[in-house]
Amino acid sequence: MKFLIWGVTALFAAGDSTVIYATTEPGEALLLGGYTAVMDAGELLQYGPTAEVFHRPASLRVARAFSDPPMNLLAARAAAGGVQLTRGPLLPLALPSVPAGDLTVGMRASALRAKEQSGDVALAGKVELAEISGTDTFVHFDTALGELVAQLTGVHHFGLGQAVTFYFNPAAVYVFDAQGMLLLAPPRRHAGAGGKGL
Amino acid sequence: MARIELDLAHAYRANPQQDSDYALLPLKMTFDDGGAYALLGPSGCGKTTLLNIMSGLVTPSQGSVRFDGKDVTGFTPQQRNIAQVFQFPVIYDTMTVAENLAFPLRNRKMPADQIKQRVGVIAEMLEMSGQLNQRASNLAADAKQKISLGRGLVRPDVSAVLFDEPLTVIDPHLKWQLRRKLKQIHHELKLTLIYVTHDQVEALTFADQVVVMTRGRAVQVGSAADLFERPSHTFVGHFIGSPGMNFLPGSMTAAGFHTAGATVAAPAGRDLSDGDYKLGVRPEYVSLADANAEGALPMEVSQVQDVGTHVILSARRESVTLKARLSANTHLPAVGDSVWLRVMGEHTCFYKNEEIVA
Repeated sequence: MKFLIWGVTALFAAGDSTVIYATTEPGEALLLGGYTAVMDAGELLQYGPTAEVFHRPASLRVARAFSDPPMNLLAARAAAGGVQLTRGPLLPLALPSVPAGDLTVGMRASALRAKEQSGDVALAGKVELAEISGTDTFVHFDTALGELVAQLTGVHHFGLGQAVTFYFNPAAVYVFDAQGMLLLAPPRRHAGAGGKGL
Repeated sequence: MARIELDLAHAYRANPQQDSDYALLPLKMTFDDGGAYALLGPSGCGKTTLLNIMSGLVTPSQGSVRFDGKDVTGFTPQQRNIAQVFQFPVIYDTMTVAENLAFPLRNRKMPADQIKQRVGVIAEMLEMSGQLNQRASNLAADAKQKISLGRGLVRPDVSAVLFDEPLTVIDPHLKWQLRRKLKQIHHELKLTLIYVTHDQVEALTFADQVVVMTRGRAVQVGSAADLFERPSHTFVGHFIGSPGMNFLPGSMTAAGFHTAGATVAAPAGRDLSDGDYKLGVRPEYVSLADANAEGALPMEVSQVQDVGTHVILSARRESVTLKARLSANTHLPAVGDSVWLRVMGEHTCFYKNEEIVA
């Protein structure tokens, strides 16, 4: 599959045809670039430039459909000084408004890292499995906040049950309200750069 | 359990004359007792032929198969004491889950109390304890395949358990759970497990040692890190990783490595005589550099793809294309920009006739 998709991307980039490509794989949509319509249960959830839909999913449903590995989802509530993770630390985030009810904090696997940087929040757990693709290692680990997955570049070995701690910058998370709509997304650091559409 | 030694070749046709007549070219290989191995390669590479030769379903046209030093080339799978799990569930629909798991043990006349104990252990590992008394016919495809895996693993005394793409019918989101189960089971039961797949994630995750195969040839045997860091054959560089390794054809002279119309200094400590090579560097190890920086090539950006967690930058010069995997945080050039890309470093490999030389 991977060879096909790299080839197909080049083919589409060269031609003047309109191409519509149906897929369940977020990675394929991202490689093809262009525009993406995210659909679920017969409903068009969101449509826009692919990178924008990926980086600013309008709802939890879009975030779930357009993340591989799945986005880590953590239960939370609004609190003084930010967002309080259930059974976890307080994230110092400024929400645009103070929403009522339960919140969901979303964190992409790539937002978790093995080395702590200043301002990071730590999550400790035990390794369930480290999946190795060559390019990346996907570490599934079980924490007090639930089962999470971290994406590390390159090949890393972890024993089953090994104790691990991963770190993330609170600014790298998404916050969704009680209805599952996006309240806050991480800032885009290279907005406007590059990506030629199809 | 056994140490498996292969020294053989196989052709499905009589009197093979050339390489393409062989399903498996002559190979010598040892699988250690208790190890977890994967045979990885595209369709038609010979991996299933190799598996079937180990199990005894196929007799090699030349050479031998030894288990713990004993020649078993002419032995049937039963005589070799092999368990094999196939792509699709092989179970008895009319039996319960427990009866299915017990079947291989009953056939070998294991006492009833031991059967019960062993079935309990395997069901627990596969998280099927609650379904032991259910009829297998009513179960979903992935539950049926779990029973097949259990039937393969249930006998404690097998020489090896062989898997032929066993997760094909499993739903993608359940796959990682079964990969985890297999890994855990390997730890707990210490069986020799040999696993055939064309899925690099499955192979690299499951196995301690991966045998990469193409066109009937085993081109590298190594750990995930070996295959990623130092592919011993250009095929492995292409096949492992997404996108795969970049290969830049060029020639080494006293001035350095000449490729894409430029000459870059070779990394220190490489013993390379003058001549033609392919430089291999993974997109993960290509980085943006200052103009005229050591080890960098001047190129023109042809594509910038935001693939979500990072950015793939493609650049070109003359007939050479290079891909770099960059952090989404870097300041990125635009299509048409001139850039310098560093290709020389400790992770850079050199190939001659598709084989690594430095």
